[in-house]
Order: sequence, then structure tokens, then C-alpha cells
Amino acid sequence: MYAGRILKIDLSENYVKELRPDDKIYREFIGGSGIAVKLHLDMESHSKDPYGPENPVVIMTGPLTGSAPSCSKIQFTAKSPLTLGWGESNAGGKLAIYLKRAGWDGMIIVGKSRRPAYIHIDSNGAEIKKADHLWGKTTYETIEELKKEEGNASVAAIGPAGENLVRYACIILDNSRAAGRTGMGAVFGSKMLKAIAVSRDFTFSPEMADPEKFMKAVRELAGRVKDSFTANMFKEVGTGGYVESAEMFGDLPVKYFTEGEFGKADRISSNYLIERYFRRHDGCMGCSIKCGKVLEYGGKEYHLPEYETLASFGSLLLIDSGESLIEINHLANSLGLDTISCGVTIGMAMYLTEKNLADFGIKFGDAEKVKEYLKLIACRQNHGDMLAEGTMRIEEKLGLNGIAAHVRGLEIPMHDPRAFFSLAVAYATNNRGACHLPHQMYNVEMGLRIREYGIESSGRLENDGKGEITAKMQNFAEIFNCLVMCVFVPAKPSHISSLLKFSTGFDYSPEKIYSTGEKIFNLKRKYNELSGRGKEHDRLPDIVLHPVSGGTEGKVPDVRKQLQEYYDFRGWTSEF
Amino acid sequence: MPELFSEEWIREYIKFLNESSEYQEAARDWEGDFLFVVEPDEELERPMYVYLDLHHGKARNGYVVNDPSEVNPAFEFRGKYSNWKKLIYGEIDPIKGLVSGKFKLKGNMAKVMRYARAAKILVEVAQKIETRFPEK
Repeated sequence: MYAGRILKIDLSENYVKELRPDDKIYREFIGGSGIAVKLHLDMESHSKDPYGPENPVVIMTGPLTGSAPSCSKIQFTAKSPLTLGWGESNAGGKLAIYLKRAGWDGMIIVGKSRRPAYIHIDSNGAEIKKADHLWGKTTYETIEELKKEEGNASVAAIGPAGENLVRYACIILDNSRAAGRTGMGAVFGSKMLKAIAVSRDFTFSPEMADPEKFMKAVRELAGRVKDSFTANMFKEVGTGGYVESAEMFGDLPVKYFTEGEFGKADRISSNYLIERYFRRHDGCMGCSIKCGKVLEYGGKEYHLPEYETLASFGSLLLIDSGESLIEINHLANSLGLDTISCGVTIGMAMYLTEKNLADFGIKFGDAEKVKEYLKLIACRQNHGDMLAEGTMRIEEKLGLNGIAAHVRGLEIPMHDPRAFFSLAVAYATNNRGACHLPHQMYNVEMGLRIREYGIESSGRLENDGKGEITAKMQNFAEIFNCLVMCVFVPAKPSHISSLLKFSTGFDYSPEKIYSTGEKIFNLKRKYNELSGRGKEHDRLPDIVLHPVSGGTEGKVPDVRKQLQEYYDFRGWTSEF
Repeated sequence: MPELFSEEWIREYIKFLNESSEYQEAARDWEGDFLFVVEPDEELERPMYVYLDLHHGKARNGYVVNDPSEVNPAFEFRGKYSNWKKLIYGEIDPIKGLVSGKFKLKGNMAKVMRYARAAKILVEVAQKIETRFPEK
């Protein structure tokens, strides 16, 4: 349910205002990045400098925040300094629930503070506070410090990477949950905004339109989560339990996407790490899956790296030590770096160095050097300054072509389109760039079906039908960005329909969920077109289109064919 | 032609499996026994149970189980008969079967997920047996 209030915080003018949006915006755009994209288009942020004070950050919860299972995520949105287009990234932890229960659906942050600042929020409003003492500190140090200063609070903080405008700097929330992608941490840094702390001030209690039916829908969904293999795997071993299976399918990128077999997946997977170092389960507030884990290694506690991190710093860089990956993950999170973009960018540096196309002084397999480079990147020192720009700009600067593993400037994540063909069109057309979330096409290729919308794969190494099912899945999956619900929840359209209807009272049938998702997807597309990041960027780099051995069986997706079908299905012009 | 999950079928399966160098390599450190459960559906009247003890890349023992409470395996893998047929015909693989909810797995997830390739070979070996499928 909605609190009906949004904060507007101007860091330049040092004022805070309470906005009460019209009911219509909630009804039409639901919440999360649905409402955010509407607000951004109204504010014309697409025409702004991403590092300029006029680039607004819109942070939104959704109607189910704090009410339904695994709806504890919050969306951070802004024009991306990495992609120069639509930027969004969500993260779990406690922030979303603390914000909603304090009576706020979200916030719009504009301007730029003259000095380092942080924002403190409770039910009375927000206060802009000095953060000189926090500037230069890691994310973990900042979170720790603010929890001391503000008492029981949820904190979202940037590290040195965000302060130094590393284009893929992330925001870390509470217990190591990351809003990783599209450089939202760098936008915070450009505003001299170190952190947001929301006090545990539970004065707002969401009232459901039909509490009894809502709880019935919650129980049904909880039952489905309990029966889900994927959810159970994440619960027991985290997302990294998939590493060995990924290698079997050829989905695990190896040596900067140039090889298909790592052969050491079992040394970097979370199955390996959990067996040796598991200490306790961890995760987001109100989530029964709890995919986060805390490890004890070398006498210290660490967070278990996610699948994406195990692959982006492991197989992609030929690092075969799970223990090194624990340390690398901790360091990257401390510094506030997106582990996907950072791993891929370092992989590109290793590749260019090996091929004598440039000399970044780093070789595949060198874990110690990677740790050193993380610090250099976060502080933009030596080679780190160029690597802080991401793969697209490195390629442009060196006058190369097809080597940078990105789409629209966002580095390709750790699911290989040669293993699951629909990822080709999904990456090429995804609004925030190459991204595996929330469309989940790799899961569709592994057997996930959405019967209501006719989403079913014809085979993971087939091109036929992939344009259509990807477009359909993108439309459906926008609902997860709006709610904001974790995509690990195996919710069917009918579940979401019931939850929305019985909480808000709005009539959201499965058909309406789909059509609203399509509208929101198209609005983000429009945002990209207005930013100059539209159709001409619907393409994959050559580096992921060469045949490799292993689970991909040497096959390569036909991107052109998939795109043609995709455009036809969406009714867009089909010219390339 | 042996019937699926009969004693004769299991004997043949163990023979093929123990001849597979690919399986021996993929499961060289594996230790753990399985109960495979075939749940009845419109094509099968009664459930079927098979016990299989897998150890260091070999099958040490295997037999038909009449009462599942008689065994205490480390892992249980179960699914409907029609899905078992799809698995053995190669229409789905074990990981896809689990992700799509066609099969359920009980046991130590951290351990079993490390052997995704071995699981795939277990099914590929079953596909080599000329199998007669029981009918209602």
C-alpha cells in the first residue's frame, strides 16, 4: 500500500519538501522504477549531464514494500554516467521497509551539496547533515559510523569509488546488499552525497484493501517459494550454487568471454565456500529465501560472494581460488564498485595486455594484482583512472572495435548468450544495457514457463521464437521493478495480480500487469531514445559472438534474426 | 528389453555406468546414495522406487525398493512418470528438470550442485539402455 508522500530534497538549496503525488500516478505506474521513469521524463533528466546537479536521483519503494514476501527492495534511478541513458539499480536490505514504514514512498534528490553530506530521514521528514568525517571512508565504515550516530537505522552508502566518480560505482546497503549497476554510486558522488540513513520509525502501517484475501495470496506465494528448487538452492548455498551448472551449460564466461571451459568451477563456487566456511544465513528484511550468507574465513567474517561476482572475478579472469574471491568481493564492496562491470573491465585489460593491444600491466589469473587494481580504480590512480571509465570508453579511447563486452555501455553479466540464445536479444534490447535482470531469460531457457503469456523456450540453442518470448518476458518482468519484488520469487502473474488487487484495491488483472509492464518498458526505451541511446545501440559485441567449446556446443546466436522477430513482435520498424 | 527401473534394468544401468570413463571423471570424489522416486500419473498406477549407491565415480550397489522407509539415502530425486520419460528421452536434463519444477530434490544442496555434469552423465547413461516403459 502507498504512504502517499514523497520527499523532495534539494542539496544545493538545502531544503526539503513533502510532495503528495496524485493518485493517478500510483494507479498508472504502480511504483518502483515505473513511477521513477514517469518522474524522470517529466523532469527531462535525459537531457541533463549525469554528473550535473540537475540530474535528479529518484529512489522509490513499491506498493507491496514491507507487506508481501521478498518485497524489501528499493529502486535507485538517475541518468547513468556509465551508459548515458536510463539508469536503474535496486537492492534489498532494510532501507525500503524503513522508508515506507516512516511514511514515505520514495524521494527525489536534486542539486549538489557544497560539502560532503548525508541525508537522515524519519517520519517527520529529512535533514541534510554534514558528512566531512565520512568522506574517504569505505562503505562498511560509513554504514557502521552512521548506525552509531543515528541509532537503529538502515543505511545506503557509497565508498571511495563513488566519491571519485568511477562510472560503475555502486551503493551498498546495510548487510552488503548492492545497488550495483549503471553507476548510481557515482551520481551520489557527483552530488557530494555520501549516504542516506533512515531511522526505524515505524509510524506508518500499510492498510490493505482486503486484508483477509491479501494474506491468503501471501500464503499461496510463500508455498510456491517453499516448493521452488531455485529458491531452495539460493536459501541453502546462495546464488553461487549455480556455478558448476553454469559451466555445464556453457553459461559461465571464461577468460574474458574467449573460452568455453574453465575446468575449475568447483573451486570457486559457493558450494565449495559454504562447505568450508559457512557461519550463518543472511539476507533482506522480510525475505524467507535469505540468499545472503556470512562466512568465517581466516578468523574474520565475510559476505558470501554472489554468482555474478564469483564468475566476473573468477572464471572470467582465470582466478581459481574461492578464498581469493571472498577477499576480492569484500574489497570491491568496501570501495563501492559494481563487481560485474569492474570484473569485466579488468578482464578487458587482461585481454588487451595479453594480445599486445595495450599494456595495463595485469595478466589473467593474478588475484593479488586484481586486489591492487581495485584500489587504483576506486581512487582513479595510474591504470585505475582509465579502467574507472568502463569498457566502452576504453575501447573508444584505444580506437578498437568489438572487444569491449558491453551493450549501451553496461558490461555484460555472467550469463553467456552462446549458452542461452535468447540472452542475445535480451541484452541487445534491455533498457539499462546488457543485464540479466529482471527478464530472467536464462531461467526461461532452463525451463521456466509463464503460461499466462505464452512464454516458453523452444530450446536453449535455438533462435526461433526468441525475439517474441524475450519481449513478452521483458513486459511481464517490469512488474518486479515496480513492486519492487525480488526476481528470485517464483511469482506467477496471478499471484501478483492478487497481491496488488487486495493491497491497493486497484484492479490489476494479469492482462493489465502485462500491458502496464509493456508501457513502462516502452517509456524507458523512450528515455533512451531521447538520450541518444536508442535503437542504434541494440547490438552485441563480437567478443561474445565467437564460437567456444564446452556446453555451448560451439554454437552462436543469430542476433540479427532474433532482433528482427523482436521488432516485428513489438511493432517497431524492422530496419537495422 | 528391460522395463524401466526393473532389477534387470538396474543391472544393465550399473554395468553401463561403471564402464563410463566420463562419469568416473565427473564423479571421482562423489560419495552419496540416492533414492529415485517415480510418482504415478495418468500413465502409471503405482509409484516406483530405486536405490542407487554411488561412490567415487562408480555405482556400488542398486536395487528396486518396495517400501521407501526401508532405506535412508542421502539424496532423494523424485518426479512424475511422464517427466521421467522426458528425462530418459533427452527432452529435459536434470538441472532444467529441477529449475522448472518437474523434479524435486532432497539432500545436501551444496554437495549435489557441485556435480551437475555428473548428473547429466547419469541421465545420458540411462538413455543408452533400450528401455520398455510400463503402461497402465
